[in-house]
Amino acid sequence: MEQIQTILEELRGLAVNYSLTPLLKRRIEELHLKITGYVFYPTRCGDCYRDAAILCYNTLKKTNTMAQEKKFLLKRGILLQPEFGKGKFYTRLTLTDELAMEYLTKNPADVYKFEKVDKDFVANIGKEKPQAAEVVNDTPKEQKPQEVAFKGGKKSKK
Amino acid sequence: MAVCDALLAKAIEVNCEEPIVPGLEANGIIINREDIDFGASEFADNSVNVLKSIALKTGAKAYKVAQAGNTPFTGTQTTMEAGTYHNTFTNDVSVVVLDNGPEVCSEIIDKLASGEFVMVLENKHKGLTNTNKGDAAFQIFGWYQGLKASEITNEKYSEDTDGGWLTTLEETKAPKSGMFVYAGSYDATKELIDSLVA
Repeated sequence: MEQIQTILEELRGLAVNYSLTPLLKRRIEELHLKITGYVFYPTRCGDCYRDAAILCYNTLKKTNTMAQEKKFLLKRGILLQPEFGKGKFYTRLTLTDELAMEYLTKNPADVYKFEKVDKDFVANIGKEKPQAAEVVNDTPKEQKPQEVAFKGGKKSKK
Repeated sequence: MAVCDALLAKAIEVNCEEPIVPGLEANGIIINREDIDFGASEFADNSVNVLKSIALKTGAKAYKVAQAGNTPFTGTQTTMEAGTYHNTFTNDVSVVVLDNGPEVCSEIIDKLASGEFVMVLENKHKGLTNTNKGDAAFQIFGWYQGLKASEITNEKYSEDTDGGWLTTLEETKAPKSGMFVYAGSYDATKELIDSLVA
């Protein structure tokens, strides 16, 4: 909490500093990444660094936390539309880790669309399926397959 | 090997519902061609002139190109070049850099002079009445051969650029007359373009 207050004070100073040195500009870039989760790319606008400092200040004051590093990041220029026909789509800016995991579970081959993935999660995508099947089939394992086989055999004879 | 036919597949009509309008929007994007992840980029399912995604390699990003004035990117055009066995297209994109200085020269002009680029520009004519609503909005230049500088001038007393830089990037021998980016809707495509520079 104290650290956030210190950063807020620092940002307030940066936002009103009209002669930012290269060192201070780098500090704004660093804070921008930590607070918003995205890299700051300066334009040639004279006020862009101070604008970035104000944005960081407002974001930090509102959220009171630093941005959590994403485990999954789409490549730039890739757009995911998880459900065909629905208007929802996601880019690297809007895709959350939860949605990425849900998408990759259904479409493991699309891992190439990601710039960054949780390697442990990706490695276990295929392995999770048999475990889930065991939990669902809670009935005695020996009886059920026999029953199905018997019924199937009877029908085919008729 | 496929037989590439050249049969006309649609009537030539006047679009009365959405008459064509000239020009480009003032903002576009430029990408170093080397940064494009061609393996992860995809063509649309039903058209070879449409890309549904332009993926960038890890860590790479596109850059915004902002233009001023009433006719941004003025001079941008596509012309057909007659060839011995097949005809191709030359794309010219004009970009004005209304600035000058050591940083501009080293980070923009020198790079434009020797690099190879892909640009995405937004047409004013967006095709909002097309079956794929808005599929004419975002046009891509340099996808096949890359845009290379064909002319860069800095005229100190220029009435147009006020001493800024006027650059023309050119792609020659492009096999397609026009390439577009379309991700299913205008909004989705805009998001896609924005994600390239984010």
